[in-house]
Amino acid sequence: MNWFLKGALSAALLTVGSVSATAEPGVTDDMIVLGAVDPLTGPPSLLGKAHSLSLKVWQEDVNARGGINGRKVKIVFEDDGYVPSRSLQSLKKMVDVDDIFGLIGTSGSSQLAAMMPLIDEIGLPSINSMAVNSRHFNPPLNSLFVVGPTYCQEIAAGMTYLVEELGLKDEKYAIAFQDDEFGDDVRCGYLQGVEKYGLNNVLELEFKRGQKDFSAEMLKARAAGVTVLISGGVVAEHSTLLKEAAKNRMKITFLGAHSAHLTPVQALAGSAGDGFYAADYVPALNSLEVTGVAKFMELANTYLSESEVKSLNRYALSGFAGASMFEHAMTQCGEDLTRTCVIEKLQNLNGFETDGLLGPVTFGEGVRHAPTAVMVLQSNAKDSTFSIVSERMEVD
Amino acid sequence: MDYFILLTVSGISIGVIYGLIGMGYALIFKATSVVNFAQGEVMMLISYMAFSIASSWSLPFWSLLGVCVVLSGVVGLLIERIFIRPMLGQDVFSTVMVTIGMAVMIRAVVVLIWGADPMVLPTDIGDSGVEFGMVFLYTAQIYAIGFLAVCVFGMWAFLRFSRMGVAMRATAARETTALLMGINVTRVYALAWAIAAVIAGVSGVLLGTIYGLGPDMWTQGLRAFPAVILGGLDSVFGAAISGILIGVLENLSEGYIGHGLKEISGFLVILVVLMIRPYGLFGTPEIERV
Amino acid sequence: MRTGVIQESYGELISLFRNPTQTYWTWALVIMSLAAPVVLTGHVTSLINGMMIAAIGVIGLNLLTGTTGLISFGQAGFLAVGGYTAAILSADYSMPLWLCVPAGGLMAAAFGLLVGIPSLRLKGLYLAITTLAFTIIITHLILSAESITHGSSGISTAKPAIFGMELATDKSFYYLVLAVLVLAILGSANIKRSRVGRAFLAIREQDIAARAMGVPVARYKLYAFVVSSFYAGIAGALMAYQIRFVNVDSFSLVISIEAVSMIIVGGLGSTAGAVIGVVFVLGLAEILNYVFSSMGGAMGSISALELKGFIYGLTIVLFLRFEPDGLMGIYREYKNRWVNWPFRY
Repeated sequence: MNWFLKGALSAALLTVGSVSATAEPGVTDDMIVLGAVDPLTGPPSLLGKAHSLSLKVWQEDVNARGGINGRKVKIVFEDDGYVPSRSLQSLKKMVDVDDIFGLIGTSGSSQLAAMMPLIDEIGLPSINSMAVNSRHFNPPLNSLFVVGPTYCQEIAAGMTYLVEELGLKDEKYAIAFQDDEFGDDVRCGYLQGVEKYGLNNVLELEFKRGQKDFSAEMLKARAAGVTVLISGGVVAEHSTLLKEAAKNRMKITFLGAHSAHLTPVQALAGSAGDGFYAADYVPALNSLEVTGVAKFMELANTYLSESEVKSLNRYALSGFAGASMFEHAMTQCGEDLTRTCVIEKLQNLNGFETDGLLGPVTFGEGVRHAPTAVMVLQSNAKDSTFSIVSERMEVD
Repeated sequence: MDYFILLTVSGISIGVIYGLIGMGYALIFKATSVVNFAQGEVMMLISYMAFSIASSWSLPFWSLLGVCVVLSGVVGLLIERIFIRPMLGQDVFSTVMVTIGMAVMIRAVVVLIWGADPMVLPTDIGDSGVEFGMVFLYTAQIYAIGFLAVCVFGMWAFLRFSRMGVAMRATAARETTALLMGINVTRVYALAWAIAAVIAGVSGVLLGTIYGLGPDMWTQGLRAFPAVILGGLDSVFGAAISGILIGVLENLSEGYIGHGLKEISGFLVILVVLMIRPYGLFGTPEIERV
Repeated sequence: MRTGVIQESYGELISLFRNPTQTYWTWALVIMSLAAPVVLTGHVTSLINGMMIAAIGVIGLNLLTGTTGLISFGQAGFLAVGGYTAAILSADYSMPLWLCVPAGGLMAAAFGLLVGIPSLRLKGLYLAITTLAFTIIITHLILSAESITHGSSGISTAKPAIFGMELATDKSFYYLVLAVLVLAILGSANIKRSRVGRAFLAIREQDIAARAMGVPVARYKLYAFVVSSFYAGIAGALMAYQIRFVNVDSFSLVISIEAVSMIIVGGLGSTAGAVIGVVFVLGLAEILNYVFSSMGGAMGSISALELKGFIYGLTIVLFLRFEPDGLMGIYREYKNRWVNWPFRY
């Protein structure tokens, strides 16, 4: 069978060779094809839908402005249902069938981890503007650019706010984190904060993703006299924690990562959803005083249906900002659009501004992570909004 | 001690839901020897229907529950008529797989109609609750405890005194003989499915009120498996009691040991119990003849 | 006219190939499979790789559930054990693929022995739910044993390579998977035609009667579990190499249920049925994918996956309702009609 293997291998090499010899994949005279893998189904679809809608807004907007150096943009969307093996399968399909030029939606953290070897092998320019984890850039892949701080950095910054601005130094701190990568990362930030300020860490609660009931956990917290709880739950888990605390008449200051910065969290928690803090690196959708948000909402109202606008959330802002960076890099490359050029231009971003959607974005030689500055938001349950309560804080 | 009591009480309030779902499993198994893997999905479907009803007309809680009882009965009958009855005479495993197929379909339908985002079930009992000393329980949790008691008593009376209940026991004991004795077995089956759906429906409404709605609600059906296995697949009352036992056990294991143990403690317990009592605590051992 | 296949000796009855025609067709199939990647695109090849890997696991499940009659929803758990074993050995101990994959199988087989023990006492749906519990517990163990399994962050495996030759592309990996699949099919077919296979069948039909006839039921039930989980472990290990990343999300309970639905759609108890079932279920998903994406992309209809789920569920239900013998049943019926035409079979 050996001769056969070799034959097949050389045939495969030939096909690959012939493709790269002709032109840059995904780029024709009047079109650029980009790909996006997002969880559009299953519970995390809340995140993926908003993210992909923002990419759609960006696509419509770019094309209305005449495209990038005369080329229209077309985004191919693939749903991975938040399963890593399907993310990889989707990416393979987009590379192979749709012949994409770059990737501007990278799904969740483990999902991207599964796609990383392939991204690296073909040098696919990619932007992760959805779920950041340190192993996405540590060690850095030449073509993968990660925007936004990790949850760890985010929570650490949020705790700085709690201690320095709110004076919550001599409180009893606890964390509830889910048993996945996200939870671990939140815990990392929590432990950093605890160490930095010498806080009293009384309890660490681990729970299973998708868990419905938190009565035992919160009773444990009550027994330990917890007064500040860092929440590493995503949507329903976070709001159940809030509710359970209110139910047990506990006076607790809640801080969550940006996954708590979602209106369904408020809605599910009811009156208990008022006043909790969330650390995030993009403003709230209702922060129309920020130019970038106002601009984005105007575009969204133009290009999206009313129900689509309703399903937007903070992931739309980060997605839009990521897409804008990609657009900037592609525009700078001019007529002769190549993957190498886009990677180089992204790498050269230095203090790139997104009208306040993100803090200044800087990459560099061997630096593929732009941990943009974090701010703290506070929930107003009555009108389902979040207000910005802190300045942007640079992360460590 | 206070801590122990608190853990136990909140464990009971979770266990009640397991008990209710478990009773549905057990009832269907008792009557038809089939485990309905879609019990959790039926529960989810009804609670989403309750969502639509509650958001269109602002019914008081009891009227909403009444409407849902009727609705879930109809859903149960429809499921039996469309999916299960055609499978009569096929082996049990095939019918079980049909319920799994059905479960997949219901999950898809729920997301198709209502979307995948978590939602609040708007009832007028909402977040209200009662404080018993140091323990606070939501109204819906109290109702759930009450409903389980009603179900247990009602099922006992039904199986003991009513003609139909006796017919159901006869069918469970031996289907062919029951058929020969003039019992309308298909009607017994239909009734079992309808009652199980009603129990699932009511627990769905209560569960939705307490924890909100989400497309992953059906996993509560899986979580209730330890209850029904511990009690014995064919023991309706066993399921109710074991449900509470499992709920308490989960909470205690989390409270004293932690590390997310509560998500698997129920499953660990059934592994141990089944090695000692293969038909659960209250199940009837099956006597096999060759 | 052919009147039927007549077997004249016991040897013929249990031989792998019934007649020359079957042998020729098999060889034709093998040659076609060898040539396939040359013609197909990388994406299709990678889909086929996925199908072949699934087929290996499902053939194992078929030995357990189809042939021995022990219903198991534990396949995802065994898959996870195999996948994690291979990933840990390759990533943390830089072992080569030819060691990692069998190690995955063996580790899963050891777990199979463990899960098999309850099967000695439990029957039918009690056993099914116990195996389901195993899947849930194993996921939890993987997440908790962080020092070994890296917990929730998952593990990236090394590039698949065998004897110094890298199999990084889907097309080269294809041949590895194909070779394993052929071995798996041969293994399953040989088990079924041996003493062991006949013991399995006897247990399926009636285990008390089997014991009365002198079949050591306990030993063979454990044997079925071990073999089946070995297959699943191998599949899991290959999966780890194909995706080059493992985490618990890839081994959810849904996989167990899907595996059972595949053997039902294919036809319980038949090795060919297991393979056909995999091709049908996964192929259906891909075809629907294609149809929906050509109808406006995943974006245009976010509900596409739900529709797919619905159709998938409906397929299971319809098969059980109208064709309990699965696709193999349909095949046999048409074959018989064809052979016996114009007479009725």
